[in-house]
Parts: sequence; structure tokens; C-alpha cells
Amino acid sequence: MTRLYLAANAANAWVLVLILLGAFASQFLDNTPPCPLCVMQRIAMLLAAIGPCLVLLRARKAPLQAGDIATGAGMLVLASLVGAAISTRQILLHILPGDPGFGPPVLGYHIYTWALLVFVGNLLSGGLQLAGLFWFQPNTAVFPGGARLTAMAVSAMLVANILSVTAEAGFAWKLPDNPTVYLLFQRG
Amino acid sequence: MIYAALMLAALLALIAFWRDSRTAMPLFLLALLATALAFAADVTDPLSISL
Repeated sequence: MTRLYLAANAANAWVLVLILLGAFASQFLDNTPPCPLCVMQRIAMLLAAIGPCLVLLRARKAPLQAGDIATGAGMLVLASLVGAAISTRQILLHILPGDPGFGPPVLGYHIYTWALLVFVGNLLSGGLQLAGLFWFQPNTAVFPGGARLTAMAVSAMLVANILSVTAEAGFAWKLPDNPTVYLLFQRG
Repeated sequence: MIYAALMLAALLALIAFWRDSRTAMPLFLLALLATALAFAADVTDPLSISL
């Protein structure tokens, strides 16, 4: 059971990292700087990824306990609720017929629609992990192999997003509503 | 800048969890609450609706 929890949390964190990498690919390949709501969804996704990271990091130092899993799942659920609210708002802003939406669609849906599906998936993951604690027995022999690598990947995504949003906003306190350029590199 | 600050708080929370610091959970909750407040400001300010 411990192995299953570790694998599930590692998979959860890596899926979020890969989705954020995909968002970066869309940002630079299609040259569409993310809007404020897009950036807030990225922040919620990164905060959600910290939950699974916590479970992996705790298991690296001591046998995994039910409390560690519950804490990680709680963090995942809280961040995903905030993220789902942001995605839902952005979907509703573009719900009128004829509205092209923000940014190019990916596989038929806009990124914020995919983001809502990801946040709902996170909520499902958190719920299943909490319900599964009914059968959980601590196992002293299992330690995660890639805990540091996973935490480093999430940290790298945080640093990359900090640099990206700083380039986009420049020295302004808030992002423009409909950004088209990177203000830090804008002259005049 | 505000979004960079939010992500910096999230990064500090992750580092604090890594180091088993007692400040980790308060930092995480602070970053989450600040994100929720930034979203609430976006919702309640009609001039800052994202297109």
C-alpha cells in the first residue's frame, strides 16, 4: 500500500510538471503570453504539486504515516479548489457563442478548459488517497527513490514561472488584462 | 510582480517542507490564501477582467 501511495503521489506531481511544461511550450511556440487568470491557474497548479512533494519528502526521511498522506492530499485538494474556481471563471468569460476564447486551442480545447479537468482530476486523486487510508498500513521497508528529483522538478517549474511572469509584467504590479508582449524587454 | 511574489512564497514553502521547517505549512497556506485573494480582486474589479 505504501508503494502505491508513493507511486500515485510521484505520478501526480510529474503530471502537473509536464502540464506546466506544455503550458510553457504553448506560450513560446504560439507566442501568447499568459493572461492574469492563466498565471493564477499556474500558481494553483504549482501549489497543488507541493502536496504530493510533501508526501514523497516525508517518506524519504521516515516510514510514511497516514498523517503525511492526509496532509499532502489536503494541500492538493485546497489548491485544486482555488485552481478550479479560477478555471471556471475563465471558461465562463468565454462561454458566449462566437467568442474565440483566449489563446489557441490545444487538442480542441482551450488551456483553461484543460486546466479545469486537471484540477478535477487532482480533487479525485486527493479524495481517493484519503478514502484509501482505510486500508493503509505503514511499511518500514519502503522509501521513495525520486523524491528529491520530483521536488527539484517542481522547484524548477516555480523558478521558471517566476522568471516568465517577471519578464511579462516588467516592473508593473499587475499584468495587463490581455498581454501581447513581454514588458521587461519593451523599450520606452 | 504580485504573481512573482506569490510563486516565490510557494517556492519558499516547498523549500521549507524539504527542510522540515515549522514555517512550511503557514507559508503554504499564506501563498494559497494570497492567490485566492488575488483571484477575488480580479473577480470583483470589472476593469481587470482577463480577456
